[in-house]
Amino acid sequence: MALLEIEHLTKEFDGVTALQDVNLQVREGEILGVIGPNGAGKTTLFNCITGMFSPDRGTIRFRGEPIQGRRPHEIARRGIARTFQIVRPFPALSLTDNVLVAYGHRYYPRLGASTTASRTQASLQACHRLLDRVGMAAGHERAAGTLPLGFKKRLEIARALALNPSLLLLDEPSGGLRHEESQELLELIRRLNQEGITIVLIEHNMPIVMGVCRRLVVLDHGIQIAEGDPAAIQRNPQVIEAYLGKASV
Amino acid sequence: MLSGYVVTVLITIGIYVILALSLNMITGYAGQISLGHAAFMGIGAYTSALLYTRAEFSFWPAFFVAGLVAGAVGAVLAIPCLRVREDFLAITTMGINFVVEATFLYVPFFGAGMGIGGINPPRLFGSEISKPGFLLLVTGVIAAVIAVDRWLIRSWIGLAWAAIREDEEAAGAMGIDVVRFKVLAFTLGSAGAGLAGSLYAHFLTFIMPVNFGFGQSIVILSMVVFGGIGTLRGPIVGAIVLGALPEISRPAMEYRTLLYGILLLMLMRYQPDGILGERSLLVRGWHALRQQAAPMKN
Repeated sequence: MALLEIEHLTKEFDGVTALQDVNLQVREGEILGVIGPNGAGKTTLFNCITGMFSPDRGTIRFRGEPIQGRRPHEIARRGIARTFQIVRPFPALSLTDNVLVAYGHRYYPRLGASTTASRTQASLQACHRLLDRVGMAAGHERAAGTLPLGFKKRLEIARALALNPSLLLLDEPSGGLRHEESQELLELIRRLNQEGITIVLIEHNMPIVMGVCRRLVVLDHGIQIAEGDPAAIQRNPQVIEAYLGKASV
Repeated sequence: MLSGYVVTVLITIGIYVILALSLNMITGYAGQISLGHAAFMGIGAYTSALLYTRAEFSFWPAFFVAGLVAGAVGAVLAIPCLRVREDFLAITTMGINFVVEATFLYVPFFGAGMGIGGINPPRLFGSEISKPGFLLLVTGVIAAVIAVDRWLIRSWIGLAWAAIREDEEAAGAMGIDVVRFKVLAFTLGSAGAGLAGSLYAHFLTFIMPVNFGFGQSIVILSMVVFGGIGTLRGPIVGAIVLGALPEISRPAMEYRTLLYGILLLMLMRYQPDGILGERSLLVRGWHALRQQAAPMKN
């Protein structure tokens, strides 16, 4: 059974179809790449999976249970974590507190538990370990808003990891990064995957996609136009057309 | 000892401290603007006054029921409020204030324009407490509110509020039930205002709808913003300074609303963190001084 199964997923905004009849499966343990030109519906797909948008039609199953239309916090608590295309750390909070917010997911559901102290030795150590894990060993008490972009992206990953996810959705993790930063991030993604986290990656940076994903899904104008291994995708005429226009085929 | 006048001013300021601290939970910690905090103070004041004058409750049960009722109404009213965002939330909470004030003003059960009189100060050991005794009571309530405030801020609730204040959607993606924690902020903040309202009613012994109007809400909000929104010290200092100001200067009393309006505008423009917020001139200056002083000590 696939970890995540999406069937006939359709999402419209004021008559504009952002996703149309998308069917895809995420297999346990893989790194799946989602590519496509700007406006193809990639982020909308993430927003539907994580409950920020409610799909108009179709089903999304996580571990066999339907999750479409559930609220974001319910989906996060089930083990689907995400990062944002335009980074969204909590700017005024320290790095530790940013991670702590997500680490608290096990306390928020019950009122009694959420009145207990948040900054215990155990929870702080757990958050520091997560920050170490994404390569942020120092400056944990800095405000997140003051970080350079590359570190904000790492922080978002640390925060997502604090949810103890089995599925991690990364929305353009290399966007805006220098080459070396991208390479480091690529290593991090590989390592997390080896540690057992299934990953779906939206990415524009083709070397990254080709380097890290063994399977790709291509969206164009909300329609899934191709699926397969990177080599086959690179030869697929429909994909080439979507990226480069009709004339180049 | 303190003169009766000074004690009266201190009690009034103390009640404002409770109001400012309770609004700070909603607007400072959870980041939800409210322009209708006086409505919940009014609900507490009227609940306490009605229970005392018509249902023969004594002060203490009336005081606690006032907090519960204001908190419950806050929870119910929070739900439609949470469907709207920032600017609309300001207008919705303002609207709630007008509706609550109009209800007190036009419904005969609430005494209409005449208000409710004959509310006595609390009794302790069989006799009415004196003014200094009342001041002590208010101080005790402030201490309790501060204790609850600190406890919440150190808990997961405080962290969830901070996340919601910073980025609501990201907070949801981190497993925080945004609606539930917002309702909790409105409930606790409104309950605090209800307790303050009860104290206010039993201190003045006479309440009128106009005491709980939009202008009063702006006064409370000014105190929170002036001192430094989202901190503990800010609302306390704000309530003390802006509460004392009209007593020190008569013109400040007469042009109070105008003055607070200008003050709010100036703060938003030049010191959005208030005078004692983390990024305010005073606090940054203090940190700079301490850093300069530190090497000298070593």
